Amino acid sequence: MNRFFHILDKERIIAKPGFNRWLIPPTALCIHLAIGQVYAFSVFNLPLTRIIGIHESAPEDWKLTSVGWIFSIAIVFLGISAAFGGRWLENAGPRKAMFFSAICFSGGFFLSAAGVWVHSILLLYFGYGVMGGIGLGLGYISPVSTLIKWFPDRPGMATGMAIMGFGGGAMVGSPLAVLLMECFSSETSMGVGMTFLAMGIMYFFFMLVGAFNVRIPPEGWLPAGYNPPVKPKKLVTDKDVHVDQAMKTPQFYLLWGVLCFNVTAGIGVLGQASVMCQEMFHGHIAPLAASGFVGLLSVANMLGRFLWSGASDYLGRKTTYSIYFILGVLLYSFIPFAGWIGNIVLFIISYAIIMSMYGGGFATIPAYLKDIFGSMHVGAIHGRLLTAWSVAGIIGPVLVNYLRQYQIDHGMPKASAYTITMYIMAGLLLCGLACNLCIKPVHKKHHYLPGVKK
Amino acid sequence: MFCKCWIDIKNILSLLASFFALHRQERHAKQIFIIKDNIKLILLWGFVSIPIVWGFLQTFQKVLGLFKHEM
Repeated sequence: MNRFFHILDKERIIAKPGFNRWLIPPTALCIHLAIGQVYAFSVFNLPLTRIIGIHESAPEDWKLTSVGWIFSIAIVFLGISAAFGGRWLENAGPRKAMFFSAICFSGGFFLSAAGVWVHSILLLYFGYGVMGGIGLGLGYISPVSTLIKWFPDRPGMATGMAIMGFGGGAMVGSPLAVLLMECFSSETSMGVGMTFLAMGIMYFFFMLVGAFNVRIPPEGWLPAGYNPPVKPKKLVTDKDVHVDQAMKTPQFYLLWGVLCFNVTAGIGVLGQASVMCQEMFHGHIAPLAASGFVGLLSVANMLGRFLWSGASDYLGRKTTYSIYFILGVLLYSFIPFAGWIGNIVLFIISYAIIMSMYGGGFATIPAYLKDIFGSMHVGAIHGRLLTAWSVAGIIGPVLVNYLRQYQIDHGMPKASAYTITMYIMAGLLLCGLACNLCIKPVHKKHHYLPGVKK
Repeated sequence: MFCKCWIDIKNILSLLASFFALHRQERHAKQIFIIKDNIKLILLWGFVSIPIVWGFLQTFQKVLGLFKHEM
């Protein structure tokens, strides 16, 4: 057993000379495509409320509000495990982290299957929520620093490719779950338990392929023909900052704000996209068409992760984030107008661009961190920054849902209930822009000097 | 004198021969390494592409539904 764990060691995965670095992005995609399934968890919401009643909810069945907590717990534990696991990951190496991520994520599915069979919501909270959430956090950060080290010439493109997988995970996870539930459902069962079990097995093997093919470059490795610029760009450092020291810099908190404001605005409207388009264009968009609209947004979210992040290698990270915020403010302010004039095409295009920038914000942040703090502890710093996501995951939907309800309760027509919400989101993006514009290079007193304790 | 020279030449020749044999072996090993790498590259990218393409097609059908029904 001990020998088996040795094959997960960091020393065992150092690449041989001549190793092709293009073998690394698919290993990262194996992990992110699997854990990105979390975005599609809502497909289980309705079936989970009919486990006993099957055709309709029985009084003993779980309520939608109880089921909704599973996703929230998973996102909170994603942030916590990324924050605490980042430093361990830097020492243990990506293979060990990916392997444990696979065990936790699949284990979460298995426990949830047991929870469905014995009808215990607590098992689902602990299974998919806590255990699965830990798998999500470890899996999310595990390939990021490896990719940055393999692609020092194009860090934005490399991390964009992996994080694009996370956006695409829902695109795979949602139809897969529907297909499996159709296969396993019967007159006496919704098929959710068996679907959890099957998905756990599938995702485990898919993630193992990534874990056992990942390699890290030897110390000091650089791609052939690449010479680091003698005079780097103003914000790009050639020094490293220790993860604990990074927490003492204002730059860390400014970047935390940048991510938090960008995600709060995006996640808030993402969750309401389907209802919003039906209410703003009442009588023009049916529920089926609305699901097509949500599908289109998930494609925009996925492509934005790769395209915006890749573009940031040329534009610079600060400029790219400024574009997200300025264009975001304009588009959020424009959406109520598109609804008012009844132009569905303009509404869809604006929403798709917003979602592409929401995804782009996630994918560009690791490269931004690398620029500011160097690549030594970028995985660990990224992990701690992801707590911003957990906070935004709670604030965003709450803000949108409560504001909408408050306005409807005060007599506002449903179609107009989103106007103020959109302006508030635009305001949040302005706060993000302010944080972004305040970012300056890290003071040299924070730079890491081997052997010097700070 | 002639014998000493002959031994020297023989040594140099065998040294050269072993150098070229090693070089050929190394080149051969490198070629196999590159071929193996390329096969692995195709397999890995193919492996991750399958779910992406499948998921994209599923989503595309839904998006088509949006445009067919409402546009």
